[in-house]
Amino acid sequence: MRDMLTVENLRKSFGDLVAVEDVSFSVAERETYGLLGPNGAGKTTTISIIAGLLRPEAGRVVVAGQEMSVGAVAARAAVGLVPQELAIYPDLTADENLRFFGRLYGLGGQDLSKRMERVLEVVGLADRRRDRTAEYSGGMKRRLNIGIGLLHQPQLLILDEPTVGVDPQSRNAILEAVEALSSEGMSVLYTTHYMEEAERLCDRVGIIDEGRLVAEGTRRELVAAVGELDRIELQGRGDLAAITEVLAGTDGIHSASASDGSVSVLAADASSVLPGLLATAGSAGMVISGVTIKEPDLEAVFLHLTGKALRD
Amino acid sequence: MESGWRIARKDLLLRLRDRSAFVLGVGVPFVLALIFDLVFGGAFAGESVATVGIANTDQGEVAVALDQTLDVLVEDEVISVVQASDEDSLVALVEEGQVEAGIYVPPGLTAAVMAGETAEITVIGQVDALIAESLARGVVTSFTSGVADAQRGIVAVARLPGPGIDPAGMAELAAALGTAPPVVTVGAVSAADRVLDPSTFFAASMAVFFVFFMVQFGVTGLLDEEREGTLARLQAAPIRRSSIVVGKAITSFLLGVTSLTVLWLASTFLMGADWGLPLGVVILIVCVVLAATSIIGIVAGVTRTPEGAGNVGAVIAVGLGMLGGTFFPLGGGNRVLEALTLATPHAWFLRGIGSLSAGDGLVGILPAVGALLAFGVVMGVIASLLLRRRFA
Repeated sequence: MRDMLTVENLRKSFGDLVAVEDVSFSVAERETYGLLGPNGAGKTTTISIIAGLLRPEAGRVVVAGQEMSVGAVAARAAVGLVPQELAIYPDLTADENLRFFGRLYGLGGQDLSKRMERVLEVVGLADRRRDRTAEYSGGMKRRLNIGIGLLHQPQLLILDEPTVGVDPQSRNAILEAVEALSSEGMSVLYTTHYMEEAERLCDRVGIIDEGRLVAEGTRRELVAAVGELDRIELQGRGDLAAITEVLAGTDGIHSASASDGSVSVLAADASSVLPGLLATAGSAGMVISGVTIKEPDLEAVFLHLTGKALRD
Repeated sequence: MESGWRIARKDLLLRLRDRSAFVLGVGVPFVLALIFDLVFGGAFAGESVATVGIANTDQGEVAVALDQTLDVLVEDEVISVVQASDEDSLVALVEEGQVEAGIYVPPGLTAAVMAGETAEITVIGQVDALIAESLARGVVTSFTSGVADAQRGIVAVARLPGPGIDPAGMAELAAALGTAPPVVTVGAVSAADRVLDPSTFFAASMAVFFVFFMVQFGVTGLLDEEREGTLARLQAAPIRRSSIVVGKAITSFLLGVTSLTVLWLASTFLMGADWGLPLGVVILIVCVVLAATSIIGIVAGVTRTPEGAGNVGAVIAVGLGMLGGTFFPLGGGNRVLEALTLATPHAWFLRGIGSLSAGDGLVGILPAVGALLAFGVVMGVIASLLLRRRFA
């Protein structure tokens, strides 16, 4: 698959503050790429450069084969931007907002009407389309904000923390909409500081901190890179000390330990060793009453890489 | 350019919805013009500026001449006159507020004038009707000045060597001096100093004053878009960035032209204002709105927030408005003030309307059009550079 977005060696500073330093990554066609980092890490600056809103001091951005810059009109047509701030007109209806922005993107006539229908359906606002958006809830405004970014069927959709300040119901609706778009083949660049969103939505994740991309890859690649292991806990009865010794010598098991009514096992890939582990524990006389698998998450990876929590 | 029009159309729809532009651009200036006209100008036909009482207890030739002077002012609907029988009645009328000022002509006025003696006409004023008192005092001062001229002529003739003039001859001489044309007259004022009638002046001045507020809804809207986050979305769209600024300028221009046009038509049909040749008015409106848009464009280019732009814009609008003579004419022989006045679009616009109202036609407004276009171009270039640097 070809790259829909290529970012090379971006640098941007504001006065003495270096917001982005030597950031490079790419997003393939049909891929959902997450930029994960705490507030102030440089995510918004990075996507502002990618969307052609800011001039980088160094580096380049290529979208759908076209060089992006502040004056690049054609490259911007390939991008759908959903800014972190709500970017809708509260005194216009959803229809009027969509129609206005649709026309700026060169849509018109039946094509625009059809796209509006589709977008309103995707974001679940079809029944409120003629209401002024000032009357919408925060979640509805967020969904319209996303809808406007989708309207012209961009090749690359950029979502900048789209769920900030949203109630759980709307948040779930937004995540489902992004999943649906991704499954339809749209490339998505998604910034967030919510680890669980990145894990749920993204094929690959770039971890950004203090303006630098400190790691990138799939969740499993990132976890492997920092040496974090899956933890399997077997609850049950039997001679747990003996069983622990047997399990520790099993292939694929890194270590094992016993505690109150359970045996804890560390492995590089829990799902691949689990069948054999259960069989061995049963053979060693353990009556298993429950199994818990805890995979290391991106929060742990971030902590490992930066020495701080994502929400610091 | 097409994108600019789309942005302008959206902005106009938003302005139409929140109504603030209509209130500020049309409602407020029209009401203020009407109030100023009522207070200072007599907005409605047949209604005078002041009601003046007169107690003329002399009835001689000089006193009759004063009555005739007042009759002319009554015919011109400048004042209305109420007669009183004596000084006490006149004072009572003033105190009761039935008249706003009174003129008392004492008995023996004519005889004293004929004899070359000092005579006195009294003006009685109300504390809260200073304009009426000033008007009455002005009428009397002007009249007594004419009488004094005639009196000096009579005294001069009486002192000529020879047998002298009999009383009948003296009366004829006094009459002749009274009707003699003045040696020096005031000629027609130049086009630049044309004086508008009150209705037209207040309508035009309030219109041009508030147009500087009206155009703020366009160009300073860039700062609103920036704060609301919609500017990022506009800048991310596949349009030239300059078209966003152009769209805002179009919004300013259309709002300004609409505001001035509505006030022009409303004041013409409802207040009896006479702005002059319609084509000339349209040209002046277009030019002054261009100038206003450019000046407020600079404000949008140098301020950081909508509130800041609103404050700076208001200071500029009020400052230029006052300097430009929208509330009262400035200058009055002060060369510095006169020069400063000409540094405002307001003054040139009002001069242009003055020329049109006086019937000078399109040629008469060329200086005003030239000055306004100069404002528009010079300020427009500066605004364009600032706005491009900031938003494009």
